[in-house]
Order: sequence, then C-alpha cells, then structure tokens
Amino acid sequence: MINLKINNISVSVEEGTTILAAAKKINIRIPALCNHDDLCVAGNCRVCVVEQKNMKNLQASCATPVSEGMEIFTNSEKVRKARKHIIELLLSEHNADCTKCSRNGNCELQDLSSEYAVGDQQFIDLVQFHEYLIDYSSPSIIKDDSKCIRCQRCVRTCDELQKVAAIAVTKKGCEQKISTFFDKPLANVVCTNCGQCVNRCHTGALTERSYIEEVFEAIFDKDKHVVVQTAPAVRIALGEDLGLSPGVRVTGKMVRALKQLGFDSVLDTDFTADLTIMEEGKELLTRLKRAFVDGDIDIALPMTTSCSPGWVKFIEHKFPELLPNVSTSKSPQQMFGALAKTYYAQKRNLDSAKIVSVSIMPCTAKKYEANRPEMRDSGYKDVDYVLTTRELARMIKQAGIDFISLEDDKYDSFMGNSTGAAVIFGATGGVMEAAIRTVYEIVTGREVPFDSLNITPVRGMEGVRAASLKIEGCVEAWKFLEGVELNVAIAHGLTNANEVMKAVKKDKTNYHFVEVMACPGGCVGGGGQPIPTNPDIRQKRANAIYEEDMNMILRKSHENPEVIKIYEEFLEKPLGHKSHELLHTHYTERNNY
Amino acid sequence: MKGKDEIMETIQDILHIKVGETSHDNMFTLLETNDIGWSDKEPSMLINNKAYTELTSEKVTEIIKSYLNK
Amino acid sequence: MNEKIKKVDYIFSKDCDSKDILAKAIKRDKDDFIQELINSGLRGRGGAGFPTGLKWKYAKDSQSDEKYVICNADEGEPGTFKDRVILQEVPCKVFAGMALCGHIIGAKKGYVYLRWEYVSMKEDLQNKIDEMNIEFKSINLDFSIEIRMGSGAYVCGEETALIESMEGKRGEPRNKPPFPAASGFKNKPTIINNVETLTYALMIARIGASEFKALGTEDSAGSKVFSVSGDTDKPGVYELELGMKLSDFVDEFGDGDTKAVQVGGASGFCVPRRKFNDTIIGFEGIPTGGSMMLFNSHRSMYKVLHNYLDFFNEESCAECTPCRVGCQQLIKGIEAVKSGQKAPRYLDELVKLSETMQIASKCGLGQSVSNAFKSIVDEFKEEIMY
Repeated sequence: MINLKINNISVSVEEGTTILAAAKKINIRIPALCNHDDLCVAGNCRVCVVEQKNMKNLQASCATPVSEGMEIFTNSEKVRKARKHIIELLLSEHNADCTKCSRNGNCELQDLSSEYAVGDQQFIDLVQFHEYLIDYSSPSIIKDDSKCIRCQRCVRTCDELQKVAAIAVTKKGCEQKISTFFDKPLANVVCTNCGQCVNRCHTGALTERSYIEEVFEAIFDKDKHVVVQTAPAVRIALGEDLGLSPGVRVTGKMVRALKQLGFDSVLDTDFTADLTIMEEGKELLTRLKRAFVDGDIDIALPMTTSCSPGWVKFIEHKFPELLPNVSTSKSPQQMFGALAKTYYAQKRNLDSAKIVSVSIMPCTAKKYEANRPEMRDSGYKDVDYVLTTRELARMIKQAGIDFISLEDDKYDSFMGNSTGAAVIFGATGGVMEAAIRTVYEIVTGREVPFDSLNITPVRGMEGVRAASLKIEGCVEAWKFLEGVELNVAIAHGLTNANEVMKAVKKDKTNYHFVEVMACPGGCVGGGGQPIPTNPDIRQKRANAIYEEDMNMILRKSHENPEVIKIYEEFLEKPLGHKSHELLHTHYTERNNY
Repeated sequence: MKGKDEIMETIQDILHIKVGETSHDNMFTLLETNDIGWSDKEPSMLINNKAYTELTSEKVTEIIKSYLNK
Repeated sequence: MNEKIKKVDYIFSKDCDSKDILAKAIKRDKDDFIQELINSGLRGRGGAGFPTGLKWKYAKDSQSDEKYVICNADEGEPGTFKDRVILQEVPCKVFAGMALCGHIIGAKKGYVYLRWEYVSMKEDLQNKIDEMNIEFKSINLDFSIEIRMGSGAYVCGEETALIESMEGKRGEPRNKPPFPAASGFKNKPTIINNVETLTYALMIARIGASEFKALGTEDSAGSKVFSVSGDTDKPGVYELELGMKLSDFVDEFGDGDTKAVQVGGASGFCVPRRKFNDTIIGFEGIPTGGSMMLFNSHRSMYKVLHNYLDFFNEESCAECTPCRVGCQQLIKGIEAVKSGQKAPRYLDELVKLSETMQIASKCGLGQSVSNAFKSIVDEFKEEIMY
C-alpha cells in the first residue's frame, strides 16, 4: 500500500492507483474531462491538474500514479487559477451555442463552466477563425467539429474498445482535428455506427441523428398507422434519462408512455427476438447437420450471430472472407419491420403503405441498418424510423408526461408477446443463452440442465467467454449430435470480436456458435443508451435484464404462443420459404478504411 | 528573418503559384516550414530534400531555372 | 576570439580514433564509468539538461531482456543546427558514443532518429554506420545501429513523442512517469540522448571527468556546441566553455548593434541588452540547447515574438489543452492588442495564461512557450503594444 496525503487528509491506496482515484476514495472530487472508466489514461484535457508539494509543475491527476509520502493539493491557488484558465481555453475553441445544442443539460463542459462560474469569456473566441463543416453523411451519427474539445475520448473508444479506428487525430497545432481517413465523410469510412463515441462525447460534437420530428409528424398524420417496437435493453435504461437510477426496470411505464404519445400500436421487438432464436437456432442445427452428417466441408463454422448491426458492418469491413459464417437471419428489429408491413398488416386489415414502422433501440447502428437497401423485403422500407433510448426519453419529456408516476401497461397484441429468452438479448451472452435454451430442447426434448434455466457460464462481463455443453440423449431426428460437445463463445465490444475472428480466420478455434455484440456489455451498453454509460452502470442494467427474465412466465423462445401462431398462420416453418423471403438477408464486402 | 519574404515573392513570381499551391506542370509545390537546420546560412530552402542556403532573389531564380531546364 | 570566451575543441577534433576510445572504454568497469560520467557533471545537451550519468545509471539498473539506445537527431529548435554539423563532421564519434552507452546499459540495438529535413545526409550516415557496425564486431561489441527517419514534427524531439513516432504512432508525448530509462521504446528501458551528449560521453571516456569538469561552472560543467545565427557577421557552429557572460558572447559575435539575444531558440529566453552583463549562459543562468540568435535594433520584437508563436502554434501536437489552445490565444491576443481590439492590459492576462501553460502542459513544448513569451513581452512591451 502507498500512503499519501491529499488536502492534508491521509489515504492509503494500492500501488499504481492514480491521484484521481485516490482522491475519489476520500470523497474529494477532481473534475476530469478526458478521463473515462472504459478507456486508457490520456492526460489530455489537463482539467484534473493538482499541485504536488515541492513540484513546480502541476500534475494531471488522472495520469499520475501515487507515490509514497506524496502530498497533493487539489484546490490550491495555483490549481484553481490553472483549472479556470483551462476551462476558459476549452470554451474559447468550443462553439458554445448551448441553447440550441442537443446536449444542453447533459454536457460535462457546460457543468464545469457553470461550476467555475466562467461568465464572460475573457479569451478570444477561436471558433470564428476556423471553417467547420458538419458531417451529416451518416444516417446514425452527426459530427460537428465546432463543438469538439479534443479530449480524444472518441478516438480512444473507436480504437481501444472497438478496434475500428474510423476516427483519429489528424494534423497538428491549431489545425489539429479529429477526422477520418483522408477526411472522408463518416458514411464512406469503416465506421460501424456503433455510437460508442457518441456515448463518450462530452459535448455535442458527436451526436445521434435524430428522427423525433419525423416520428411526431407520422403520429399526427391521421392517415398513418404508426406501430412502435421496443428493444429489450431500452426498458432497463430509459428511466435513467427520466430521473431514475441505473438498473430500474420501467417496461410497463414505457409502454404506457408510448401509448400516451399516440402510437397506434405498441409492440415488442422481443417477439421477433424469439423468432430470431427459432430461425437462427434452426440455421445452426442445419449447418451442424451439413457439416457432421453430409460431410460438407464448405459449411462455414462457427456460425456467428447477426443481430448487432455494428458487428455486421464491422465484419463486412474487416473480415469479409468470414461473411459466410454470419447467420443470414435478420436482426429482431428488421424481422419485426418486415412482418409489420406484411403479417401484421394482413391481420389488422391495414394498407401496408399507410403503416409507419418505428423502433426504439439502445443503438445508433440500428438507424443505419434500417436504411440498408436490402431491408425492404415487405415491399416498403421495413423500418421507417429508428429512435434511441435517449430520443424516446426526450419525446416523453416534450409531451409533458410525468413518467415516474405512470401506471404500468401491457404491450398490444400480435407481435407484443415475448419470453424471458428474448429479454436477455439485451445483455452480452443473452442471445447465446436464449439459443441454447431452445436448441438443446429441440435436440434432446428436455430442458437445458441448468438451475432455473439460468445458463450462468455464458453470462458475465468478461470480454471473451467460451463454454461447452455436452449433448446427450438426443431425440431420433438429431441422433447425429449424440455426445457432441457444443462449443460456444461470446464476445462483446468489437476489440474482443476482432480477437475471436482473428482466431477463427486462422482456424484456431473449435467453436460452433459465436455470439458477438458490437458494444461493451451488449445492448445494455449500446451507443444509443443514456449518457453516461460505464462499467458500473452496464452491470446494473444487465442485472435488471436478468431480473426481467426471471419475472417472465415463459422463458423459452419456442414456447412463445404468438411465435407458434405465426408459424402456423403465416411463416409455415423456420427456414421455410416465407421465412427466407422476409426474415433472412445477405451481406456485402466493404472497404477497410 | 533575413529576407524570406523577398525570396518567397520571387519564387511565387517565377512559378506563378502561391504558398500551398502546385505549379501547372506538377513540378513544384511551394510550402513554408519551420527551421530546416540552416539558420547560419539564411534564408534557406529545400528542393527534393536538397538544401539551398544563403539565398538571394538572383540565386533562387537561377536554381529554379536549373530545375525547369532539366 | 576575445579572451573572455574560451573556445575548445573536443567534439570536432580529429586527432583521435573513435574506435580506439571505445575499445578502451568497454574494458572498464561499467559502474566505474557511470561514476566518472556522473562526476564529470555532463548534462543533456538537447536543452533540458538532465544529468547524463544518472540517466545511464537508471537504464543500467532497469532489469530487462532488451534495452535500446536512441540518438536524438531530431534537431528542430529554431536557430539550432549544431547536430547537423556534428553528424557531418564527426559521425563516427556519435556512433561510438551510442555503442558505449549500449555497452554500459546493456543494449544491443541503437537507433539514430534523424529529422526528415536532414534526409539528404542519410546516405553518407548510413555508409558510416555500416563501417562502424563492422568495427563494433571487430572489438567484440554486440551492438548495431540503424537510422530511423522522423517525419518533420518538432514535438518528436521530445523523447516520449520520439518513441511514439518510432513505434509508428502519432508523435504525441506520453504521460510520465514512467520515464524512458525505465520503460521507453517498445516499453523497454531506453536511453535517448542528444547527438552532442553522446559525443561528449565518448570524449569523457577519453579525457576523464576532471579535465571536463575543470571547464565551465559548478552547475554547467564542461563545454557546449553553440549554433550562432541572426544579426552576426560570424554565423556558424562554435564549441565554447559554458558559463560565459552573455555580454562577452555579444562582444564576440554581435554586429555592434545587438539589442537582444534569444538564448535557446523558440523554447528559450530573450535577453535584452540591459541584462547582457548579468546573464550567464548555463544552467545557473540561462541554459540553451545551443541556439544563440542575435537581433539588432532593426528587428521588430513584435515580429520576432509572432514568429515564435507561429512556430509553436504549428508544431504543438495539440493533444493537451493548455498548449493547443494557449498558443492560439497568445497569437490572437498579441494581434488584438497590436490592432487595438484589446486593451494593452490584456497582455498581462496573456502573461498569466502563459504561466498556466508552463505549469499545466503535458510536455516540454507547451511548458516552454512562456519562456519566450514572457521574456519578450516583459522587456519589449511597447514594441508589442504599438
């Protein structure tokens, strides 16, 4: 242990702890902008500087490890002057049009400048000397350099967490900026639209592209029938943007709020998550059969999941040769969209052309996914507008709904019913768990051999997790799987996905099935989730997801009565003709910059 | 410090380009840089990494012509 | 040359064979040699002045399977060109100095990080390196040298930014600690010394600590290579004893009308005429990496300052706030004062800002902007204002 004093208070911490963390331990808050629990130390913004006794220069507390006998002052005259200067400098290069900014009220720079009462700017406004172009090219993310304070959190996020490096620091001196390969528009580079950068941006430099106005317009259009679907991970995070703590489940309140907002039908992406398991599970079994029984060496194994659109775009850019490994099943959002304008329209006797399909997602990449040209299998754009959790919270606020006091309500029916297996899609490992619950039962006729169906080996926050399950006692049709050790892996965060796929590419794994989620923690940590998101908050959201699962009566996708019904009435069988038409897709090789 | 502006003007006149531009024949791009390590023999410039020092208007005209005539 | 300035000839003397000095030196006890280096009082000649012997000791004491020696030839300080001349005149001494360092700390690999602007010298240097690599083998020294080219960024002279650049990354300084002697290139213990420092280390192996320490002052032992430029009739490179008075220097090199000398380049200090007599060139007075630029009374100090600020404004890696935004504010600030858009007292605010840059910036670049800024604004306020 290392002993030091901070503001004359003694504290002992482990070797390697930063001054910032040591101060936190004794409840001394040091403001820090470029620091983030998910990212490596940068020491860029210098807002967190502190004074060390007998040192002339100040130290960046986020980047300086403690040492024995150190004496630190976090609020000395020298520190205060320097910190105020630094905040003023940041503001002088920041386009502070706060009242017009979408991050107004949730901006760390704004908080800091109000805390330090940086009133009338003493320094010269530097924004006027630069020409800034706002990049609107991406359907998911808007990049406005005039708001950027160069903390480089986004750069570190894209590089460290996601191994994408679509955005990086370019040029130096006063021309330095955060940009893309040859300053190309975001839409034309390797960006996966995961939105992790948006979630870590302090300011309005990186924001999601909002479709709130379009959605309200559709709601107010009496000619239009507006259906909305909500992703599993929205219900456990939405409350954070509406005054509740992380980890509070608000499913019922959210449904009521959506109805009050005027959506004609409030349905659940969880329904198509269950459907995804039916399609993807069958696809996995078919691939295994072809490989094991037919000896087809061209069958691509392991099969990977395809529900995370950030992941799909990542593999299209980075490992195009492995695209055959990706399940052809559409994501739950897109399955829902294709069915909303076909099956749902038929059942409700509606003109598909007049249906507007909206989805609420924890995700920014879903906006891109909905815009893919191949996502029009219903004959229309399957999903018209995608809103993030944050945008839904904003709509609820705009409508003056007192969210916290809302009574619970239930999803509407046809495509509103779901199981616990679908809910856990929202956490890393959840798709795998849901798939195993169903596949194991199809193959053996028995429930998975885990207490309360909780397949704990695939849960957790470890970046890459692998597990094996021995299949015994197969029913006749799946006898070829008797005694087979089913090897699965789970990766979340694209850096981890990258590692797994590198191993797959070198044929160094024995996996049959791999779940990949682009975002750390899975959808609970999605780029469209409330800001901030950090390891602690992700864990709380994941816990809430598993609570939700435990509270469901049905917890296996194949037991969802609406799923059973849709196969009877409409789809016939998993991987059937209709399924192929509406629920499956293909992928495209993309550039690697 | 020692007559850089005059040299720059001369070069711009001869090549009909401004700082940051490239001549029509794509032969020359004119850029300014910080200190190339010849402060004892200012003004100085680099052409294709070769250093030319103690420049005057006349000298720089000759040097550029020698490239043009190559 | 006037007798108050002592010219010496260690670096450029050609009456010695680098290989012989090296061959003898590597037979000595390593700790013994490090002690000699510490006793000599040699401090880094790039400008920062860290005691060379101590640096080598740290690297030697660091346990690692691999270590590296890097010769910092990213000479980018405005007004400095002495490393270029050293590399042109006596390259083998530099390389032998690297090999000596490698032998002492236990490194087998050395790199010369050569600034891009010196690429025309690369071929000659490579030939010399090829010869020296063979010489090293001939004296059973397991050490070889390679050249790595810089890409033209001043900040890469900062040792951790240099390492980042060598590793193929963007040249931005690292947070310290750890220092390179503990964890540097490829996170292995690394010595990064200036061209001149390595040459002096070899020379100390030849002449011994006492002869070196007999020169100079308590804090600034020995001699140093100076790059003299500006308004002088004798621009060039001179090896002079440290600790001279600036007035004596100006007597020798000035054109009779010197109004100020910028000691240490853009990151150094501007000394006005009235302080020439009280200013000592060395660590007890004003240290320099070698750049001595003289200005006569025809020079506008506003332009001089503006030039330096332009330089920093372009060369800042722009990673940390005080340096990136501070440089822009200082330039725009003096322009605004000059044009009357800001009141003259705004200069005081700018001086305070530069003090924040000094104590809060991440690396030596941002920390040293205030040197030139404060010294020029303090002494030539009227020229800046009007």
